[in-house]
Amino acid sequence: MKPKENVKERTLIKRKMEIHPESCTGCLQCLMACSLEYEQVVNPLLARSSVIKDGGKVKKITLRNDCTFCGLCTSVCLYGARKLGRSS
Amino acid sequence: MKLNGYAGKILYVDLSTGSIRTEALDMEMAKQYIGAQGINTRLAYDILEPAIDPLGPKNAIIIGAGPLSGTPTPGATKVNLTTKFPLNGAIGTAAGCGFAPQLKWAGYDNVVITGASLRPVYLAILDDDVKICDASDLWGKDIREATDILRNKHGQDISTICIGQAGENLVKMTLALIDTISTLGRGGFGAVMGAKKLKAIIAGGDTGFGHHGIGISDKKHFQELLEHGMFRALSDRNRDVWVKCGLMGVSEAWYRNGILTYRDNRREVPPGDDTVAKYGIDAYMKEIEAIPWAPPSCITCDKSILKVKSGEFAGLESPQSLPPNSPLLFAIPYGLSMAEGLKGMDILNRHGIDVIDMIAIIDVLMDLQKNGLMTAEQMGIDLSKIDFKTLSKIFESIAKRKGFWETVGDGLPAIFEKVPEARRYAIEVKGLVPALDGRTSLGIETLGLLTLPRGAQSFSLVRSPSTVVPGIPPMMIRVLAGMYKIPLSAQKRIFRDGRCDLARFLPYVENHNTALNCAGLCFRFYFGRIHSPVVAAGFYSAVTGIKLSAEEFDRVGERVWNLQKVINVREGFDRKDDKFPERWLNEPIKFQGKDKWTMDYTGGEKVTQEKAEAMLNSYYEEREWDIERGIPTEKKLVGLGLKEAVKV
Repeated sequence: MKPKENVKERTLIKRKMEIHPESCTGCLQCLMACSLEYEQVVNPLLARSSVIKDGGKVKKITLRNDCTFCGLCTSVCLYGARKLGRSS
Repeated sequence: MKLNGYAGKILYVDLSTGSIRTEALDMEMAKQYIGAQGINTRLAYDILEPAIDPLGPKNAIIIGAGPLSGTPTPGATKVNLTTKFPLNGAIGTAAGCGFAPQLKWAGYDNVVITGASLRPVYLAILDDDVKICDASDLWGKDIREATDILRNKHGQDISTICIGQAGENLVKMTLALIDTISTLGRGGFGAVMGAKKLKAIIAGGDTGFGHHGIGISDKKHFQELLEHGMFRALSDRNRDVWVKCGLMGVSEAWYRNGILTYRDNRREVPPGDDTVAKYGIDAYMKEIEAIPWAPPSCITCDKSILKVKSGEFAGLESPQSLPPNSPLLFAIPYGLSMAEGLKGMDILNRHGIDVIDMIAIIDVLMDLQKNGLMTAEQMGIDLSKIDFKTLSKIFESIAKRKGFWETVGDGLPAIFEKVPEARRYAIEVKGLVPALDGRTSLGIETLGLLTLPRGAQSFSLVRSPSTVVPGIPPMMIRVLAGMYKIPLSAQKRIFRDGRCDLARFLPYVENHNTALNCAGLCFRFYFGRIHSPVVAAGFYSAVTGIKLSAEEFDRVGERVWNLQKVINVREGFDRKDDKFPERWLNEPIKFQGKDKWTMDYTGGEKVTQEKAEAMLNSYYEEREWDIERGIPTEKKLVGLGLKEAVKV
């Protein structure tokens, strides 16, 4: 599935995810946890999100359309690059 | 049967013939050695014939990922490289951050590269598509330039191990950089790759990450351990400052304790408070902006992409493995600005030159000139006053092997051969410069630099916790002994008469950290605190499904440590090479205005030659080795299941 570009905030079933690529260090914990939860194996390509890098630095974080905002990625992010909240 | 956690394949590449083949990973070997450093060491024992030329085609580059690499286990970042190092001829394992996860996602646990190409090449490991590619457009380029080209060609998510011009020119004081930031293979790995005409190794898939998924046997237990690890990481009171400015966060404690803070060829430690004011975090952050950088699964990143804010080098951006290098190695000893220090680091990194040896050797050469043993004319560069221009000239001369600097680039052993008097001014163990100094900190970390079979590696790779430094009360060390699951009978030997025998403590720390390395785990202090033997063995069991107790986990570390020692005994290393540097025993360092000698801190006594020998005796005895020769005994090897290694 093609990732959506420039996602900063999305709302769905009363949840929103704030994404701060400037705080992302590229540790990929989010993608690894997501793929393990939903695909039963660890591989960042299988995650419902992507961390896009350029020249070693994180430029963008995107969510795939099938992301359900379960919040798993936000719970393993220790750098504050993803935060889950309730949408108004 | 393939186990979870493992990719299940070893890749063999012969650069002389161009042959590429894979073999299934022997799961019995995996159980015995866990992976990464363990399997690498076993392969090195089998593949590397004794006394081969490190720069010849028979030397092998063995790269290994652990069973936890490529999973979200906190700190499962480490790739292990095993080879014969040209600077001192030792065979050992170096660890760096990154590459291992990408190698696992490409479908491989270990890679063995032998032979030598006639023309410049790079090895591309892209899922099942493994190829030896032409690197004529990369040869001659620095590490940053070459990595940019590779990323643009193969995708930004690949991981790279790349060498600079110094490695191409077979300078022995070289290493490689992983993803342009993490150092790998102090002691000449750059030259080993250069001799094989191998500019880079890349791992990934057709457009970035590989497609191999890593299974986890017990997801629920894994999740519990992950939560525990994250909680421990977040509750570390220093975490915020590490994330903000990388390892620079610990620099002020180092300045105050005289750790890595030297001047005048380690004759003096500048006053701690002055150094904090001039080169502390606030002063540093005024000049330098730090962008935190982490390899996969590093939840407490200590590396940064640094950017100079203003002045002559404004806008300079340089990824740095150890951010405090600029003040510690350039600003404090030579009075340069931190921006100049970063520029110096940037030049060395791009060329792939090891900074720790580099700076220490400049100090030795300055002493030689000061004492009339070498002249500026002989060296081609006047070292009576070091400024940024002089340093730049030195770096260039070494990378290009110009005149006298060809010898310098080959490290202290080569200098000793040419100028024997240099021994008097140098501080080295097995030809490598220890970053720590015994006179300011003879904790387990420093002692471990003497016993490491590979030689005194850099600060971060010592097989010991940085929690055991002078000033830590024996009671605190006792807590650590409990965490390390040291048997009570051994604890009785370690803690006697209100003191701690650090030499007897050391083997247990070495065993545990080696086991962590085998699993692919980082053992820097913040991860060391998370990964006690119980937790690390728990992660290993949850991922692979092999039930391993904490004691069994560390026993693997002991097996690997003994085997790597045996390999080096085969190369002629023994007790004579584990010695204390002479200057640590014969010359004080000026610290806080007073002469400071090497001390056994918990016993409160000066370490004399006799005491130093006694400490080594204790170490070998605790290891159950031959004390006289400082090597493993037949009984020990058989007990560890290494019967075949007895013949050495």
